[in-house]
Amino acid sequence: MTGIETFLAGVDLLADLTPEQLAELSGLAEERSFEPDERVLEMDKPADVFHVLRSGRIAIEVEAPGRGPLIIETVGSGDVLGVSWLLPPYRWTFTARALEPTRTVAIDAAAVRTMAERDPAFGYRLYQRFAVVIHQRLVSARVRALDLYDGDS
Amino acid sequence: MYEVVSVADEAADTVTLSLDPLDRTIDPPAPGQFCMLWAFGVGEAPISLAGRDRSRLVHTIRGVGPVTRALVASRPGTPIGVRGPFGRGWELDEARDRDIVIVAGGLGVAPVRPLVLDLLADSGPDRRRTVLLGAKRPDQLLYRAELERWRTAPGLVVETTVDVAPAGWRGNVGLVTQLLDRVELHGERTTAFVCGPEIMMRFVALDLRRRGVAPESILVSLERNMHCAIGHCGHCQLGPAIVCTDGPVLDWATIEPLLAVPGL
Repeated sequence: MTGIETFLAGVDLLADLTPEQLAELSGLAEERSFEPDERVLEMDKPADVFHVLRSGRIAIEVEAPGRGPLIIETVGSGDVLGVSWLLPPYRWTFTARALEPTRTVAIDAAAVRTMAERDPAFGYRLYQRFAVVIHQRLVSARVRALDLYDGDS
Repeated sequence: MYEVVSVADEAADTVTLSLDPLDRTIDPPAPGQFCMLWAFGVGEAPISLAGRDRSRLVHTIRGVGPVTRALVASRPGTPIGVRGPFGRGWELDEARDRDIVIVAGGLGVAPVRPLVLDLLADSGPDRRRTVLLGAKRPDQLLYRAELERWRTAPGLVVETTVDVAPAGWRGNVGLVTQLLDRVELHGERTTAFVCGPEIMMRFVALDLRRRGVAPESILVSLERNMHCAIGHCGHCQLGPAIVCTDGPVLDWATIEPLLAVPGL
């Protein structure tokens, strides 16, 4: 196993891939590192990779007119960054920036989509796993939209 | 009768008052209990204990109504009427030999502060102690002046998160349950203390149940419309439970079916 393959094998998101699928996925991945404040993803730019964080933390930002950039979510070690690559038009919805020295495994999104087309069992499993991530973030966004802390006394 | 001896600003509308007795002292409140604080000429409000030091009481108050706004406007020397302590507090002693996770959000951080202070002073058994705190924005996190001491205390893992933050914030952003997902937790030997808005507590409890924590080991502090504080008026009734006397701390096994009843 390569270092990337060993790391990906321990990531919850990819826990039930077969050894062959994991090896193929690892072949589509490379290690990247980011300095604090360095941009990792940029809104509207092609969603050509997704990241799994090895260490550090990344902020997902949105530009709010008159308020400057706001951080709406942070992701940390073991988390996945980027879901826009799953659906057309394959462009990032938000900008992401490293908050501290951060290492990720970046995976070629277009190649993963091709792999999923070719191997539907892999594709189904992967989309199921990403559905969990999307569901968690949807719940988080909905609950925070309730502005719960504003009314507590 | 008590008197305000210090006022610490926590957020734009929130202060922590330290109160010393002017004449008689009340019985020492336990963590999780509450007192009725009387702003003279305005009225009375139930306020959880946020700390105590011998006869001194510490209460953190957000100004959301006439009484709490009057209390927030107190200055050193302001007299405050105090009744209490009332209710059933946190059962920390029963949890000392277990892993402990404290999850609180918004003003719900105030009632768990005595627990955290207790754990800071406790060099007890080698058990996992985790404190997860949430707020709307970074400037609304309570006890910011103390957080660094909490974070660096041996044996205590303290994480904070906010709903949204301006660029430049280096902390976590997200729901407090997302912090919970990231911590190592052994459900079968964990007792959880949870306080915050009811919806937040429900999601936290669901998460804890999913991680194997028994419903009897999830203790939540409920907030209801308490008036008399002695179980007579019924304002705070929640089904068969009178929150001011049976609670405010109740276990999830007791409270979950009641919270599921619409309109209760």
